[in-house]
Amino acid sequence: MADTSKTNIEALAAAIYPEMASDERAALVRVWSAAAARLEPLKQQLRPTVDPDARFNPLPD
Amino acid sequence: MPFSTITETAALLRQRKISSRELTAEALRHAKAAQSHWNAFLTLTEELAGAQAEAADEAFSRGEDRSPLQGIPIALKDLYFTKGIRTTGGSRLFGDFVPDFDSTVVARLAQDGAVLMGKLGMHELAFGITNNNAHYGPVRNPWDPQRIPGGSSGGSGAAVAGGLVFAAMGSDTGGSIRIPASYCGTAGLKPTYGLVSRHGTFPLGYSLDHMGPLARTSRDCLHVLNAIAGPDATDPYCRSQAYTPIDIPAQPSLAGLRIGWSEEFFFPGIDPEIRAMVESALRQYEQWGARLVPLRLGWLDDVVALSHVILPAEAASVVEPYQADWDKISPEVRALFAGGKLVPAVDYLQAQRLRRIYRQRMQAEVWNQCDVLLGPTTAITAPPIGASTVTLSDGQPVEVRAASTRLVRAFNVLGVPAHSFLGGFHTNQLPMSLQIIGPPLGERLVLAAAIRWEEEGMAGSRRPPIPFVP
Repeated sequence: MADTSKTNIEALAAAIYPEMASDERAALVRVWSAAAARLEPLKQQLRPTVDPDARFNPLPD
Repeated sequence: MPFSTITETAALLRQRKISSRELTAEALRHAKAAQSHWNAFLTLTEELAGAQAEAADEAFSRGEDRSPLQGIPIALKDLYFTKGIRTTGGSRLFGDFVPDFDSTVVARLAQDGAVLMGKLGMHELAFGITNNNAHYGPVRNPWDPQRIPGGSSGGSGAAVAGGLVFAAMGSDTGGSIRIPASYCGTAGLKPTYGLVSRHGTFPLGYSLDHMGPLARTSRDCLHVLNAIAGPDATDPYCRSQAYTPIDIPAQPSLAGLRIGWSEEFFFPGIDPEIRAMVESALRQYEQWGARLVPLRLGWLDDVVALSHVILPAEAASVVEPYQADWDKISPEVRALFAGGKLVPAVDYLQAQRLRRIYRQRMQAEVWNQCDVLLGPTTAITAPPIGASTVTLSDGQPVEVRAASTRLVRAFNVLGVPAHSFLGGFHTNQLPMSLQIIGPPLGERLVLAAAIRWEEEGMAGSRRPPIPFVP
């Protein structure tokens, strides 16, 4: 599972956007941290014992 | 003529009470006069419109009748490829881009005899809801030019609301048809995912993009849908099943229709007058024989959360090949794309897997209980240009982006049809809109419910003030 802690997001942002102004980069980190934090608890629904068929298939049937 | 409907005008064309040439000339005059006030158009295709209008009149003379759109002036959000006509995506990145083919939607509209008036302003690269475009200037809301038309299909909303065209194509990745429809007081349909081809359109979110119409009435949206829907081998995600044109009688019966609604999802943080309008609409539908089904749908906010993962990642992928021209994207929009590269691949995949689970939940908890859902489209009326927050009439401050998108985004993730239509007017004189959502391929029910509302005259017949002589 991806580590979406804020520290790791900051490190990733620094690696991808080394030239970006720090306040701009901090804003990006803030936005994605919020989205990642919102996603994290939802992932519990993906445990294979709960839904063995939760494969990657976003398209309507 | 500017504010009549396709249905009314199609009848006049067939009775030869007006020609398409006269209609188109009037629409072009109107569009030119309006440009300095609303900035709805990026490109007017005057010559093409004249030629198509002439062809439509000749077809009528020969007794040919291809569709209700024959001879009707329409326009396109500037992300639909048009052969030989600049297609900017609302961006400097594509400021000089001239496609060498028509998108499938454009070809089908032409085949049905529609008259293309031009290409409309949009939020830069379709990534935003204000239409406050840094390169081409803000598109303004005809109801109040100091306010946004919504976006990203803001030029489409403004052109339809202002009577410049009879219908306009938009695209909807997180509400981009329904938000401008709501703020401009038009109808706007996001069809089922894959019902309308996306071939020859700029993408934003590959698995979230939907193409659809805005028009002054829901019946007019139906006319356009019937022209553009159906299989297209050039779009791998377009449904392969043949599309049967939908026919809805006047004032369709809604007896027995089960209308779901959810206080938990639709009402938190919305303007009290919009809430009252929705509650009144629910009671009205009940009087027409519908059955109301209260549902607990707070979990739709989890679906919205998936959109906040999927969309930035897909959008970042769209623009990655243009890194060398990064400075041609405005800082505001560039930041959104930049954020997408922070989304780990695993999170993107988990969000896509969760999407399937929520689609199953939607079936079990919604579509097994009711036929359609009814709620508001946006939590607020059109905000002022430049505002990032607004205050509701009960004093509650709300953030414009969230108030514009929260009630619409989930239905892109779920791929279901969702339609915005005029519900009434706020005491601030701006339109307030209703949103009806249906199960996959439920366009007929969704549009029938909206058409009943409109054909009973529930939203009145107000028009925006016209600040020029057409």
